[in-house]
Amino acid sequence: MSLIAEVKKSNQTEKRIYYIFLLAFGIILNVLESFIPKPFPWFRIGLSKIALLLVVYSFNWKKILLFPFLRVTISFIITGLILTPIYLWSLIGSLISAIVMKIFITFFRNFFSMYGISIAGAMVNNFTQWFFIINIFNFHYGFILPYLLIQALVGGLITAYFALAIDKGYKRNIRKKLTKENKELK
Amino acid sequence: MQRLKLGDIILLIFILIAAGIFFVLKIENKNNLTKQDKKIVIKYLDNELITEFSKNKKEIKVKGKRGYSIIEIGSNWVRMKESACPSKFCVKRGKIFKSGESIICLPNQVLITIKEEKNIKKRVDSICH
Repeated sequence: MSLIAEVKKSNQTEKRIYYIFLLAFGIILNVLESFIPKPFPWFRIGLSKIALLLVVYSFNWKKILLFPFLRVTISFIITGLILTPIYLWSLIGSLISAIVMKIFITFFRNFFSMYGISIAGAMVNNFTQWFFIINIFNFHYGFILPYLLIQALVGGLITAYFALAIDKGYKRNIRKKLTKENKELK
Repeated sequence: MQRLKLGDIILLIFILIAAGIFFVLKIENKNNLTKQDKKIVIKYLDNELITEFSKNKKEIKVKGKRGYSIIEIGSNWVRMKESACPSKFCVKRGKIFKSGESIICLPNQVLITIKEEKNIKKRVDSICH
């Protein structure tokens, strides 16, 4: 059974475990990605979107809206960039992309596969950050938009591929393990 | 690997077209600082003179405490060409470009600064990542 179906079927405690597992997964991916040298600060894949995709597919609105806050805040504390402008626009982009992806899933589920939803989320994320940077911080980065859109396309395809691979390849059953451990404790 | 659905392909084509369009259009900031927004303020003795940048080079002759000093103005720069002061620090300062930069000549009591108009938002000098 795939990961998303597994999460949807599980009860409250197991859902919490899955949520925290995905949160830690996203943070680790983000921190590992920050080790990779990049030619420009915005030129990256956005690997932590894998965790966001899986969360958006399998949880309810409240947990989806909470996820970007926790993920961005903790990973920025670890990388030491918290309370910089980068933190602000990363948070806003992540939040809006999560909302858009959830809307796409609820209304156009039959029309888009995971690839389309991932690309849409990445595009909205990049566009929001670009808009934010230009209009509020007043930087001269207007020319960057086409490159950002192409980066969203490539990054979205890669993240969707990995998310699908994780979703398919997930075979461990947490419920069995929990009951086993409980029996052992008793 | 899951197959791409119809919506995905439409989205892909849409993004490529949008990227192409934006690549051709080249969006600029609305409140981009143009040359006309910057002004040169020259103070000498107790007088003040406000001028703008000009595409053709122009020279302004100003009388200071010790004698005349000649200021040269280009398309986006200003410099002190000649000065009557002994040390010539103001001439060695060279050209200035950005708003907030200034050339000061103490012996001759001449001051040149580049200023932006107040209704424009302040711009960040530089960022590091």
